[in-house]
Amino acid sequence: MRSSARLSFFVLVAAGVVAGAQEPAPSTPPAGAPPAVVAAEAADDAEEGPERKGRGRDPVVVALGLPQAAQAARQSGLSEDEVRATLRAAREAGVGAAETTELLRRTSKLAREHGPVEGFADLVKAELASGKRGRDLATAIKAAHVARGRGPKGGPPVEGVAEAPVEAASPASEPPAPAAAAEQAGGVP
Amino acid sequence: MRILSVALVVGVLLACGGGGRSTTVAGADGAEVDVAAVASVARKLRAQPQRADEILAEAGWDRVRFEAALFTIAEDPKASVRYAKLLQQQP
Repeated sequence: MRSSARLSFFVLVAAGVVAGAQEPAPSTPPAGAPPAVVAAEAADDAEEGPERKGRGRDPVVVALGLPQAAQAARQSGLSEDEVRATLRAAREAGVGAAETTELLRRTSKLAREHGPVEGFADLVKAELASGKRGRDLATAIKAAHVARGRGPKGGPPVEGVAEAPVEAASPASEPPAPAAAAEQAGGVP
Repeated sequence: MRILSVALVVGVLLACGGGGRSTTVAGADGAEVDVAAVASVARKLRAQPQRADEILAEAGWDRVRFEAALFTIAEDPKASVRYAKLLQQQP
């Protein structure tokens, strides 16, 4: 019986070592962290990299920010289904991950300012089907938010309001400069 | 003997995913993407963007497959947050 207990101890220690080697992620957010905090942290992470600062504008480097851009879009008021459908629409239309990243970043900013657009994924699908890409696509999406945005807090769209919804990430977590620069440059790295 | 059995079960559970925290996410096409593996390559790409193609090749990726993996992670909110946190770690 004593030898069984000793063997059990060694098995547990070995299993702990194996699990520790597989999972070196002590920096994961606490289980109860509010979504806005997690999104803000994710956006901060993205800001540190060249994909946010415009250094080395290789498309694959810009594309590294796609998961964070999708998460920011969710936090700005788009539903999970809308974000997933938008990503699939972009992928099926052959839009690269870098351009999709820029598209979602701009969309998050617009959704925070004007509120999310009902049927956003369908809008993107329609615009992509009509052949719009880059700046043309960005312009169409911006126009839709200005005209049809549900407002930053569920009310009517309000001009010049940059306040984030309660559940959204802080506007400071996504500075307007990169998005504006991307728009000026045509939006595609 | 009972203690040994319990210890073995606990050990297997810990070894298989660190208490249920899997790092993989399934894409629309059913293919599994390892979030930790993608984040590991992403950290190297961020550190040395000028070596992008070399880094991808060394890790067994190409641009098309790597971008597809990023799309898959982006579709999953939990995987997206996990990827963002892993991206913070040093390459």
